[in-house]
Amino acid sequence: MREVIQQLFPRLRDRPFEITSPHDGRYNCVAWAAGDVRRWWWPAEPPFAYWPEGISREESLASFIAAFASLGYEVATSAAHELTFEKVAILASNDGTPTHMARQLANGSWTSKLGSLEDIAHVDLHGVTGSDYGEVVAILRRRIR
Amino acid sequence: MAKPQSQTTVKGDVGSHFATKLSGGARTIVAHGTTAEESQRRAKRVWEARDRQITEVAKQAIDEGLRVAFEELVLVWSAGTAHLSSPAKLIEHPAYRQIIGLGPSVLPLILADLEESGRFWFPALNAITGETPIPEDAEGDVERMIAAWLQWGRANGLV
Repeated sequence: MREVIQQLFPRLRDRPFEITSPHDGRYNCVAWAAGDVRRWWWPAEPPFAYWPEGISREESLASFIAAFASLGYEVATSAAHELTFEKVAILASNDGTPTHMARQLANGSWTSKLGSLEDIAHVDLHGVTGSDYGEVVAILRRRIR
Repeated sequence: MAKPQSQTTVKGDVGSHFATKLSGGARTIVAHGTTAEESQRRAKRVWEARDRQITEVAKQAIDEGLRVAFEELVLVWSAGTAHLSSPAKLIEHPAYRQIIGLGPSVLPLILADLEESGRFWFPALNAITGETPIPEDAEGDVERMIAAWLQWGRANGLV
């Protein structure tokens, strides 16, 4: 499976990463960033995906930021590790449409659920950027309770 | 087969046409006509056609050529999209659209794959059958969504 993941994300070829779960179609990257392993999160037409109540189901950065604001996150200026904050990253394609989310781990590295495939731990966000997920467009943070 | 439990007819939702909505079980059908009676007749025909299609598929053995075609399309779709999260991206893939284009005959194959793999077949099932058996409070809850569709499949002799 490592090879398949490296084919999908060529920048992981020269960066350490670890597969940390079996593939699982019950949850996706946004759910994983939100700490939910039971539902598929996306601002899509119901009932095909879950999205927090009252938040626009438009596939936009604003909608993602609003969804995570409902969980206590605010926009941050840096992906750098801060001991008192947990962080998530939003990635988007060239046209600004969100494609992926990742969550920072306590050691400063990141974890991503790759669609319905596995979870991986990767040292930085650059590893999952590229043609399919695009680039990092926002970092959000909330104080660790 | 579900029978219509409610029927409403309104004027003007598409131009000056009348629209009749039939609902029952997990199914909703809307059909239009230049008169209320015509829209009601057309809605009834669509409802009956859906029943006939599903009944016929349930009676038939799976065509082996169709099975191979389905497996090939699933392979291509899955390789191209399994790492993506956006339902829009999953659905707009050409292989997924071709699978929907195979029509009701492919329903037993989709339901079997849904049970085995849990792949994102919900929009395809909805598009082919016109039905939405997923409870409102189960949105995004993939296990419950799968269970709802498998229950629908069993009730219709497709699983």
